Amino acid sequence: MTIEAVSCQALSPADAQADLGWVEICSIEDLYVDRGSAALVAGKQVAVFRLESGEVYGLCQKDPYSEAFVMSRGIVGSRGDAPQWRPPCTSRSSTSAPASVWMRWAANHRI
Amino acid sequence: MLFAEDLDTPTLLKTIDRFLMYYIRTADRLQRTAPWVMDIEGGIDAIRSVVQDDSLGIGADLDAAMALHVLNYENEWKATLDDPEKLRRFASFVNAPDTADDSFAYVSERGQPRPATEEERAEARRPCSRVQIAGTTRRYDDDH
Repeated sequence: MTIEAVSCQALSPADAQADLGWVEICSIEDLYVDRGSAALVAGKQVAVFRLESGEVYGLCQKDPYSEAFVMSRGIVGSRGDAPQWRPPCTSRSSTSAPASVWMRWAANHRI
Repeated sequence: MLFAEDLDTPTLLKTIDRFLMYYIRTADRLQRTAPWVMDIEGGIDAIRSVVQDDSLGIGADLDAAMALHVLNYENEWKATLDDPEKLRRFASFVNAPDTADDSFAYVSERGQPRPATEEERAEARRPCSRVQIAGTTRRYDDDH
């Protein structure tokens, strides 16, 4: 199956309760490999990351430390085999995030 | 010291082209023209004889190099604007390319924009607030 469309589900606990359902964001081809992109979902900014493996991850676009909407400009990398991500606005070397804290989003087949 | 005078336009252009290409060929990395002129053996007189009298016999070569440069010149900014794929990278949102990022907030200080502080953002959200806040497209006059 070729992955064509990127969808996301919950953006925050509040949204999870509101149950947006799956919202289609863009085509997988619209995302650059190992780069982040910002997207608007229900008026909220989200950061979407496409990895070389084809997996797609998402975060809230707002950096909780700097309060700037810049998370999509973070750096994608890996530690061992685990995908890692580091925010753009901090020099703290320990703030890289393992994939487990990312929200893994579906990159599913276009209907 | 004057390099040349009373040149007609074609000769002027040729002189400038040869001077620049000779500089590009022989100057050190990041060396400016004035130190380059001083470094050249014979100084400005030697450069003048190369450029005007073709004393080294490289005049045609310098002309051809400049012609090739002009021929291949591409304005990178214009090329980006003409390329939808490159232009796409400047959109704020991948799924809403025409929507501006509204998270930017600026206030006017002495007629110039500066980023709003958290306090100013909070103040601007209150009703009857005197703090005016704007995004990236407003003119920043002290008109309020």
